[in-house]
This record gives sequence, structure tokens and C-alpha cells, in this order.
Amino acid sequence: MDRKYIGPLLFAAGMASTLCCDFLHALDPYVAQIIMYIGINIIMTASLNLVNGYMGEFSVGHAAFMAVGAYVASFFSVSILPHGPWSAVFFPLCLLAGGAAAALVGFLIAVPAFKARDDYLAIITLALIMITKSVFENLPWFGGPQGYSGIQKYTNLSWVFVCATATVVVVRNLVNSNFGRGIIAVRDDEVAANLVSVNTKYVKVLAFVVSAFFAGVGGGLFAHLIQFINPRTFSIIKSTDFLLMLYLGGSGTLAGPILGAAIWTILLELLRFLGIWRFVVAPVALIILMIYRPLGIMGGKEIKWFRPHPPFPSPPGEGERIKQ
Amino acid sequence: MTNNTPNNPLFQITGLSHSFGGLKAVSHFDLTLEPGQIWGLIGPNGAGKTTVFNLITGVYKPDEGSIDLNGNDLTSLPSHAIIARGVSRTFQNIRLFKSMTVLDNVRTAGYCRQNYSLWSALARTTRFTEQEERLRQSAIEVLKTFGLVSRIHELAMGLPYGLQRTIELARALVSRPRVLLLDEPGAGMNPAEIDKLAATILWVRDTFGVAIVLIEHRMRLVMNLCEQVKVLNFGETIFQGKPGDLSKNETVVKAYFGEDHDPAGN
Repeated sequence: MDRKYIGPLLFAAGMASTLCCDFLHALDPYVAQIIMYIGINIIMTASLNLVNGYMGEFSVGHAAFMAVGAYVASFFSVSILPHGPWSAVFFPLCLLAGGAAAALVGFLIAVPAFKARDDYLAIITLALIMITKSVFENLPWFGGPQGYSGIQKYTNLSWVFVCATATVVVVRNLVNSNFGRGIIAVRDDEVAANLVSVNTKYVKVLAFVVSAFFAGVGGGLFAHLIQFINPRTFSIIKSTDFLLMLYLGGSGTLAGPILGAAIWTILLELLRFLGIWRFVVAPVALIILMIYRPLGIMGGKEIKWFRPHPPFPSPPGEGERIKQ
Repeated sequence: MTNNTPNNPLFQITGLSHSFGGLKAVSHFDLTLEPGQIWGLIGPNGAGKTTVFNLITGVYKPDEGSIDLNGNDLTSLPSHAIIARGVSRTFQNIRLFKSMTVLDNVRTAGYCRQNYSLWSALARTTRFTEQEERLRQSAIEVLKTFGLVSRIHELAMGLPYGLQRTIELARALVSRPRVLLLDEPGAGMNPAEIDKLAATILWVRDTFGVAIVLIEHRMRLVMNLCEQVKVLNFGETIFQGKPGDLSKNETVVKAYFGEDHDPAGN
């Protein structure tokens, strides 16, 4: 079969099965819940990968973008959009609003943040987390430190599936374009990138904004899944989770974040019988993995399906060295 | 396209100066380049040669002076815009993108020649596909002329040193420059390789129609290639003329070759 139909067919199959599960309640609610967590974690990790993997920066601010997305999307669904039996159709608008707000915050922080690099970017994004946390604690409309409640459960398997697919496809298409090559060039050698005509400032801000947008969408889905958010949910611990999933799966690859998010989420569930000890066992497992596979499960490789599409054929004259 | 009249040179630098703190790295540097010319820029270590390249390509902003390419003022532009206007360079220490294949290294330099929008890229429109295909073809075309086409899917950093230098040269040519700045292309090469490199540089000039400025310590290369030479010492231009006259000039001999010099070079 022609390779270009595989993606759409897989998407159609996934869409059909998630719709079935949602409307026919074919899946155990607990399992469905776990799958939705996996999906949201994929969105968060794949978007984080754009900055921390492909661009090689170290941002720890992903929870802040998630918080902005979660609060803004919830505010839209609770206070702005009309309520009624059909109000769930407005849910995508809430998610987009959450994403857009996060992207805006991403843009505002990207400009000063990219005057710094490495450790300093980490410090700036750490500060961003603290700032968002105290802003949401002190703003009057969101329930303050007690948290924001009254959020409807709009998130279902289908929306999570659509958003996760969109995230992965956007990241893939971005990375395999002019902009993506620019982003990777910034990781390898920023000065050289600039000196082969890459507009480094632009691609850096672009990567950060796109990353923040999807983190915001993920936050919106998360809020409408657990139906209650408070500022403490989005602390540095939350960011650490995504960093962990990213480096577990393998940063700088498309398959890595998906694997990392799935494995880590399932592992924490399987270890639930250990009680609080699972937070000891799971990191130890991670340390062992890092020793034996320091580049993550994917180890910098890409699985076949995620390579650039359409597949580039070998160039004419392959194998023969042309004399000059 | 090139505007080649005596009053209107291809590339003109006038009165370029730059200091790092109190140190005058480059002072009153002038250069006029006609299409197809090859100029040599030589001088002892720390003379300010690479600084000149960095000033031209916008890595540093000059304190004074102007840089003009075919009537476009490049002085206040950011680096990527300067490259897009038609100035390319290679680096003294190889600066290839280490995680990329040979093809991607070269394609990255086509950034300025692509003008599809972000939405085009995300939605994979025909505009995107066409431009990407065209860029890929021209990257392969350039690599083919250097005999690198069988290795385009290999990691650039995994290739031998000489080939890496060639890839850097290929990368610099993909943005279709009119002025090519080569920073010590012969570093680390033996005399036989130097002769081959000289042939390659001449061939690049003729094939791609570029004017070339060459920083080089290897006199063998300078003597073979350059029509004109400029000698820098402590940021000052101390000599300008034919490479053959270099060894006759007292100041140059003192500054560059030291006391017991060997005009033949090696």
C-alpha cells in the first residue's frame, strides 16, 4: 500500500475507536482515564521536545504554560461560553483560547529568555513558574489558592486523540521544514546557523511559542479532565514530570516523547500498589535507564514512520563519485 | 545582474574600524572587490583578519565604516540578512551542524532562499513541497559538483577532515553568494592538498561566479590564487598589492615573516 495513506487511515481508525469508546462507553472508565492522561502527557512532552530536544535549550517552564492554558480554557468554558446541553461543542474554542493565551505568555517570555542561554534560561523559566503560580493564587476570578472548580468534564478520548495527533503532526511538519532545520541548527551551533542565513531569533521565538501553544492546549484538556485545578497543581514538580518523560523516551526524536509519556504514565500506575514508594522505585528505574541508555529509549534514532514524508528517494547518480 | 562598472564595484568596504575595549582590532580597513576577483588577506596571528570577516558578516557591529554590496548597504543589517544579500563565509575551525547529515547541513543554508510561510510548512502545501524539492535539488547539485553525492545521508561530522572542509564550502555556496569569504581553507592540509584546494577555489570562482576574499597563512595558496593581497598587522593595513611584491616590502617582511624569512612559503 502507498505509504501516504497509512497516516490518514491510522488516524481514521483511531478516531473511530475513540468515538466508540466515548459514546458507547466501551472502555472501563479507569482505563479510559489512564489513556487520556497518556494523551495529555504526549501533548506536553512532544511540545516540550521542540524547545528542549530539537532546539537543545533547557526550559523548565512547561507547567506554567500548562497552567495558563488550563485556567484560560476553564475560564472560557465556565464563565464566557453559553451553558446548555450543547455547550460541549464550544470546547475546541476553549482549548484554542487556552493555547493562544499560553502562546502569548510564551512569546512574552521568549524575547527576554533568549538573551540568556542554558542555565540562565532554566532560571528564567523557573521564575516564570513561580510568577504564574502567584498570579493565579491572587487573581480574584479563579478561586485563588482554594482552586478553580465547577469545570465541566468535556475532555474525552476523542478530543485527547485529536489534540495529541495534531501536536505530533505539527511538530513533525515543523521540524522537517526550513524552520525546523533552523531550530536544529541553533542547537548545534547558533553562530554558524546565523551565518548561513538562518534567522535565529525568529526560529527560537517560533519554537518557544509553538511549544507553549500546545502546552496550553494540554492544560485545557487536563483541566476539563480532572475538573478541578489549583495553582499548586502546576508547580515545578509538574514540569519535572514532563522533562522526565522527554529524556526517558529520548529527546530530539518524534517517537521519544510518545514512548516516554506512555511508559512513565503506565509505570506509575502499575507501581500504585507500592503506595508512596512508587515515587522512589520509578526514579530509580529511570536512573538505571539513564546509565544504560543515556540518550533515552529512542537513543537519538527515529522510527521509520516518523521520518520526513514524502520519503526522499536516493538522488540520481548515487554511488558514483563525480570527478570535478 | 552584477553591476560591473568602474565607479560601481561589486563589493566595497570603506573605513571599517572596530575596537574591543581599548584594543583597536581593525582600523580603517578598505577593500574594493570586482566580480571574479580573488583577494588574499594575510597577517600574523591576532592581526584582525577574522575580525574583518566577522565585521562583514555582522557578528560584530563596526564602530565606523561602511560595507556595500552592489549598492546595498550591509553595515547595519543582522547576520542572516547579510548572508541573504549575497555574502557567504566558511570558518577557521569547521563549524558544521554535528547532528545533521551532509544534505541537511547544506540545505540549512538555503534558509534565505525559501519563502514559504509557517502555515505552508505545517499544512504541507504545494508551495512548501515545490520549494523544498527545489532546494533539495540545488543542494544535491552543489554536492554533486564536489563529488559528495554518495555521502549525502551520512552525518557530516563523521566524515574525514578534508571532506568536512568541502562540505562547509558547499554549504556556503547554496545561498547563492556573490562574495565568498574563506577563513583559512588550507588549515591542516599538506602541500599536495593545498594545490588541489587552489584548483577547487579557482573552479568555484568560475562555476559560481563569485568574488573571493581569502584569509590564509599558507603562502603557497596565496601566491597561487590571489590577484591582490592585503596585509594586516595589529588591525592596520600595512601592505596592499600583488602577492609577488610581498617579499620585497620591508614592513611586511618584518611583521609577517619575522627575521629569518623564507619567501617561498613552506
